[in-house]
Amino acid sequence: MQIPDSMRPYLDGAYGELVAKITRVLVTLGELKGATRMVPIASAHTSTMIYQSSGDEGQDFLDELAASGVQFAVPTSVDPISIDIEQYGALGIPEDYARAQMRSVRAFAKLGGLGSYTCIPWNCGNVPRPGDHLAWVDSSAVIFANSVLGARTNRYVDPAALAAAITGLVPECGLHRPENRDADVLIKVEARLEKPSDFAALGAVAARTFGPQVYVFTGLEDVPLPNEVYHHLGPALSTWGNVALFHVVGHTPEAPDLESVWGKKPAQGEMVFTQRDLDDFYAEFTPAGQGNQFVLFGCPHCTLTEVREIARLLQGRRIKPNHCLWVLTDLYTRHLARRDGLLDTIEEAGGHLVAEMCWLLSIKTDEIMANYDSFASDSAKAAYFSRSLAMPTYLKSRESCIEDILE
Amino acid sequence: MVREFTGQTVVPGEVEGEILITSQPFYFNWVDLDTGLVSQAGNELDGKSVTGKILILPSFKANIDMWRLYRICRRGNGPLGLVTPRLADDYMIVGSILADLPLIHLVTPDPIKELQDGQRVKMVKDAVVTCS
Repeated sequence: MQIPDSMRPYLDGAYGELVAKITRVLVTLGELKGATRMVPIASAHTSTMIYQSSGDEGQDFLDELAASGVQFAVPTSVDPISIDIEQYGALGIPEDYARAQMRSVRAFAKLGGLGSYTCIPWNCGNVPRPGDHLAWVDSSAVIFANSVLGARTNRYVDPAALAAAITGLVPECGLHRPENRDADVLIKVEARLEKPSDFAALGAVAARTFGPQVYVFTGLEDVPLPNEVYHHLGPALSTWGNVALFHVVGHTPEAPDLESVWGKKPAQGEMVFTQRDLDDFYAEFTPAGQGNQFVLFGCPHCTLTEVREIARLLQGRRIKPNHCLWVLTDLYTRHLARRDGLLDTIEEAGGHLVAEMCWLLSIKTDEIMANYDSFASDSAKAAYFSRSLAMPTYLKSRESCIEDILE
Repeated sequence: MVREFTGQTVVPGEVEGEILITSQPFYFNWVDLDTGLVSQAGNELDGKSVTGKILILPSFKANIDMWRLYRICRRGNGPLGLVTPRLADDYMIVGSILADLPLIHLVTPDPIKELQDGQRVKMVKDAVVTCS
């Protein structure tokens, strides 16, 4: 691997052992994947030591990094954390737990980060352009950046993304190289897909059939595909099959037509996605007996468009006792929702609009699983993780999720 | 008789110690941060300690294992090194570098099948060697 002169001081310990160590992480991973040189990145997206998984040691880690005197060299956004900073108390999150997580929030600010804790950073000012190299973490964010925005990133691990954010460089391997971005698997969509959860089902079925490959979808040329649809398709693919890139012919930037991405390398598989496939997948996620249900939207985080739609469905209605609704979003969206009256509508119905938090990596997760009889979401990613925690889990359209818990 | 298992060093470092073997992906969330003891009913390592052992495993179970391993090691209760017959994934590599643990992958013949708990081995460059 050729190491640029600008990277040497970081690797050689000029900023201390921790910076040297994470830079070594970045270089080692690149060397093992056959990279021979480093390329500059336009932005980074990292995680800031989620308290639930990295604990006090993770907070120490980021404090030490901030104290080393380095700054992020490129715009660097950050994934959700274990608390809702503005209302952790109302959600029943203990004060000492919140205070512990806040250490890395302050450290991240000191490093010069874009502190909007979200898994959809393009909604909050980190908007890559086609062809940009990036160092992003979070499988949901990575697949969107690669596929919908046409930028180039591998699935980075936190310390590697932090090193890339500090040095502004990544090893040129994997999806940073154009020849690795052509499709291996062709999915011809025959089913009529209308709701975001339909696209979630499509992604889950495709990815669990063929695994970690590059996918191309046809048959959707005349279907409108707003960002919210990709927020369901992408994470379904990444969660169910470790997919990091897909193309949709006629929609995504690298696939104006099928020939642009298909037929240049040996095909690994083809599949027709039928109405039957769609119905069968929903049937798998229709357990018997709803009981007291926890409904979750926003995995990944909801946009303002989705929050508005959820508020419209809740207008003047009331959630049944012993049921619960969480709508997860970013801070920017919650502020707009408050100003526009949507927050009041959701709260008057008995729901919660939770910002900057990951439902799966918090002190609340076990409580949710213990206190409710079943879980429902329109997200195949949320459904995957809920079911992996042995919870009876429904995948349904947003409308059905809400209707089924209203009085 | 000394046996040599060849592999590829990912994180360099020479250590010698007793081995602990698991044939299934290992979840470090099963390990108590302050004692190093595995607590998972039904698992082959239930009740055993990873502290000071050379852990031979196929892979981590989840990506959060990286941070859990880091935390266990920061508290001084971690293993001595990691050995896998498979290709180490990013999380195992990064976890080993962060925790300052030597890591050798692609080790053959399969040490999970060929060795037993309690045997002593030495991790050297590109190989694991049994101590007679």
